[in-house]
Amino acid sequence: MGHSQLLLSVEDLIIHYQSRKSTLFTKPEIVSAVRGVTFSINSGETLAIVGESGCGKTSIVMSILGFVKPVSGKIKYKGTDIWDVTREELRGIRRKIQPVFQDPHHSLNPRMTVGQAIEDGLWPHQYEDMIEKQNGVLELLRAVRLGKEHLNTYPHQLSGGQKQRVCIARALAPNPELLILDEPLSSQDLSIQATLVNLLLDLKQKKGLTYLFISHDLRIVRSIAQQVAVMRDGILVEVSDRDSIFNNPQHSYTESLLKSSGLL
Amino acid sequence: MVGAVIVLIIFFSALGAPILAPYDVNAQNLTMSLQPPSTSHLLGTDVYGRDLLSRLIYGARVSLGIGLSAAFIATTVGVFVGVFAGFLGGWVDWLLMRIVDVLMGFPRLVVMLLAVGFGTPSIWLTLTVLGLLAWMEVARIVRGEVMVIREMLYLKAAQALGLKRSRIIMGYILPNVIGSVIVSTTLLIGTMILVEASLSFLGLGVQPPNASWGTILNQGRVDPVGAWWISAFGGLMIIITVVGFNLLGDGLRDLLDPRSLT
Repeated sequence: MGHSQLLLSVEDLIIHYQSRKSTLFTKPEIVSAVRGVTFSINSGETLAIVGESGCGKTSIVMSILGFVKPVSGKIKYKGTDIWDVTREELRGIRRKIQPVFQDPHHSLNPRMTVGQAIEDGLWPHQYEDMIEKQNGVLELLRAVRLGKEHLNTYPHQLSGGQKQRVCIARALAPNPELLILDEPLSSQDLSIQATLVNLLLDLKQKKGLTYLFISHDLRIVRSIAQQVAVMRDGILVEVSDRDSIFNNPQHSYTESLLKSSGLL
Repeated sequence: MVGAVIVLIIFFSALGAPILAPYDVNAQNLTMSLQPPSTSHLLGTDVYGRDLLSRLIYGARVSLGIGLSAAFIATTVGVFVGVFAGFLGGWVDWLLMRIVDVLMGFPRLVVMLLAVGFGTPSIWLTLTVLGLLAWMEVARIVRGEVMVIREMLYLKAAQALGLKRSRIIMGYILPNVIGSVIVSTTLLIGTMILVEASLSFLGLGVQPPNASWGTILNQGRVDPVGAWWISAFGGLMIIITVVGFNLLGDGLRDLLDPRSLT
C-alpha cells in the first residue's frame, strides 16, 4: 500500500482531563487519558484500534472530531492540523470526517424524523430543489438498506440496528472520506453485528471510504481491518498489519487479548 | 386531567364574560350595598352594590390576561438567556448566571413599588414588570437542560456535520427543551396570577374600578367578617385557578416526559 495517500496522521498525541478545577486551596486533579499516541491511516485503509474500555480510545476519537483539545501533539487531516485552523475551515474538515458512535439510541435527535436527520447532513446548496434533496436522502437510506417507509419515522420507533443504520446514513450524507466507527457494533445483537459488518465492508468498497474502527472485539476487527493498533492505558503497545497481529503478536498484552477472545 | 378542565372552564368563562355575567360589571347600586349571597345576587354584592359574581367573571379576564402575558414575557426572556448561557458556556454563562443570581435576590414587591412610583400604575406596567422579574427561574431550567443536551451524542453528530450554530440551536436544542419550558411556563402562570393579586390588593397593580381578583380582595377589606363573601369568593377563585394551573403543569410534565414517548 505504499502508493496510497496519507489521509490522517496522529503524532504524539497527549490528552489530559481535569477532573477537579483548581481553586485557591486545591491543585487541579489531572487524569491523563492518552499518553503519546502516534499512528496514521492511508486513504482506503481500515485501521482498528483495540483495547479495553477506559484505555483512551474514545478520547482519541473525540480529539480527532475536534471536541477534546489535546495537551500536545498533532492531528493532521491531509497534512492540515485540525487544531490549528479557523472555525470555518474546521467546519469543512469536519464534514469529511464523520463519526458513528457506539450508542445509536443517543446518537439521534429524538425530535427529528429519520428523513430530517439525514437531510441535515446534506449541504443546503448541494441540491437544486426539495425533490432532488429528498431523492438524495432516499438514496442514502437505500445505501444502508432502509427504505422509503422509514423516512418519516422517529428514532424511538426504530430498533437498535435500524437506528445504527440511520446513523451510518447520516454520516455518509456529507460525502466523507473518513468514517470513525467508535464501537459501532457493540450495542447490537450478534446477528445484527454480522449484517452491519457486511454493510460496512460493502459501503467501504462502493464509496472508497477509509475507516478508523474502534473496538474491543477482536473477532470483528479481524474481519474488517487491515491495520491494527493495540492500546493499553493511553499508549499503543503494538501497531502492525492484521496478519502479524493475529498470527505473530509481539507484545504480551496483544497475546493476552487474543487468548481471552479464544483466537490464540 | 383535572388541571386542564379547571383551566379551560376559567378560560372560557373569562372569554364569555359579557354573556355569562348576570349584571353590568361596573353598575353601582348603593341601595344594594354589601348584600349577602342571595338568589338575585348569587355571590352577594360589594360596598358599591356591584354584583360580585359578575365582577369575578370579568376579573378573570384581567387576572388571566396578566398571568398569561407576564408568563409569556418571562418565558421568552428566560429561554433566550438560558440557551445562550448553556450553549456558549464560558464567561457568557458566568456573567448571565451572576445576573440571574442578583435578580433573584430582588424583592419583587419592592421593585414593583419603585416602578409604580416612577410611572403610573396600569395593567401594562404590572405585566411588564412581573414578566421581567420572573424569567430567571426559566433561564436556570433551560440552561441546565441545554448543558445536558450539549453533551449528547446527537449534538456531537450534528457538530460533526458542520452545521451552523443557529441550525443546532433551532433544530437540536430548542425542540428538546420545549417540554420543560411548557411545564415551567404553566406553573409560572399560576405564580403570576398570585403576584398580580397581591399587587392589586396593595393598590399597586390594576386600578379600580377595573375588576381583577386582587382589587376585589382589596374591597373585601371593608368588612372581612360581616361581608365575608367578598374576600372568600375572591380568594377561592385565585386558589382554584392557581391550583388548576399547577395541576396542569404537573400533568404536562408527565405527558411530555421523553420516557412516555416510547
